[in-house]
Amino acid sequence: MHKTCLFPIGPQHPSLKEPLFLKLYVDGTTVKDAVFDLGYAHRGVEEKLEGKQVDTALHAVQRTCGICSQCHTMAFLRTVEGFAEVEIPDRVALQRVIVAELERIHSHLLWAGVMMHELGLDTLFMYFMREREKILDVFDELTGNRVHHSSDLVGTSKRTFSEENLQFALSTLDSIKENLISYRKTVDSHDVIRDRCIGKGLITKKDAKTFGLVGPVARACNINNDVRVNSPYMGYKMLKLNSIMRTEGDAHARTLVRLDEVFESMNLVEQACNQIPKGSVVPKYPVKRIAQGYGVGASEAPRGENFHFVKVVNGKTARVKLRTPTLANLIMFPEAVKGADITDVPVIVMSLDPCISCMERVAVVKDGKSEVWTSHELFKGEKK
Amino acid sequence: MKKILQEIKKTKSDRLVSISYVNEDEGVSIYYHFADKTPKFKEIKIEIGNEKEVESITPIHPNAAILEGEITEMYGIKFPGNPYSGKRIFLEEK
Repeated sequence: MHKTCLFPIGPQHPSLKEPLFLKLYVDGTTVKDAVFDLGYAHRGVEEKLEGKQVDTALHAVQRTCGICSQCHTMAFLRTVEGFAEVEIPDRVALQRVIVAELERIHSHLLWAGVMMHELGLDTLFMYFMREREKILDVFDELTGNRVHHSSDLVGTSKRTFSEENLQFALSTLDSIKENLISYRKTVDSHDVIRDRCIGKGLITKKDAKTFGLVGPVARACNINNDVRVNSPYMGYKMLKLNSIMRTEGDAHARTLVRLDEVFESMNLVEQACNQIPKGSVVPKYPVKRIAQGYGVGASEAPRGENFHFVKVVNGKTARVKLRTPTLANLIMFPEAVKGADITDVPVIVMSLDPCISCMERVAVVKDGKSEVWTSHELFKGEKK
Repeated sequence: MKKILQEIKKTKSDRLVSISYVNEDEGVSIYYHFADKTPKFKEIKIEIGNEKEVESITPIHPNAAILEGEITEMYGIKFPGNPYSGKRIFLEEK
């Protein structure tokens, strides 16, 4: 009779880039069941967001995630500008889209690099990271920041992108396009990648629909939950977007969806740069007076739909709820690795592109009651 | 226990996006948001007052399991019928 045994991976492990504890119940080398333990990167962001003025809260919202900083900003601003009925000029709407799409390119290239590393192809890892570095230079040129772009305010942006800025962005994208086409061809035809990805971590279309999956994971199962298509916002209303869809639902399909989205994002950046009204500038002052109201809004982050619920009472945020895409996809993680060989688990988990620090953002709770903790108390682990 | 399944049944064909716990002046409310292919989210607001137990919607929307489990862990509201009830998702048990 076979006995299953527990095989732990994480929270610190060479194959994981973020703290996640995988408890795999294995029979031989086959995974029979999986349990995911989280909480190692918990920061209590939602609780910290309570009782802040909207413009102050925006700073914390932007720092929820290091990779999709702009998409959190856009979801929050879409919500607040929606219920406060703030109109934004075309230039601001398009500038936000340019940063968001560059963010998608850099996120997907980072992901592709790490995925290749998991597959043992470290040269491709270096190649993808080299191209990503150039996108970070574009962020530096456009917003002044390489990671947390922090480029927007309620109703406006912090700076007007000049013609030279936009030309630099376009020429950088041009310079990496040829290399990326060749990497994409390699990923599609490389025997090691095909053997280790095709048919692995299979998610059916029915499961993807039942469990409400989002982003490239859903699009690889032929389900289009793209917020940019279903509910266009800001500059996306002015742009033509083709959704990248595949039907296979395995790790290889998810890889190709993300790589093809890089080219689609380049196309969107080009359209947005060409449509920005020439000679216009962003409004000088942000909208300060947001006294009351509540609303919901979503943006399409690199990992999928990013949902924000914001309630403002007496000029301060009473509740900000963030539902990040990884939380929506988390429910499928154990299912995706069940039946897989233990050596394929890092590849399957990586193909789902988890963003753990982004997901663990809720409240600090003690004795069943939520409390506001200072960063010093959080660091020490006890409340004064 | 607050009964809500009858009301949530109307959203069977939609995708559950989020469940939000909101502490309001008149008591605690839980907001359910759903999406179809239209630009606006559908919203169902349930006022639970001082109730500590709310019917789980996992029989209709299985992806509610983690979203409800998160509320149980953070705010102590229990969702009888949720497969994650009693399990830890984010925080230590103590």
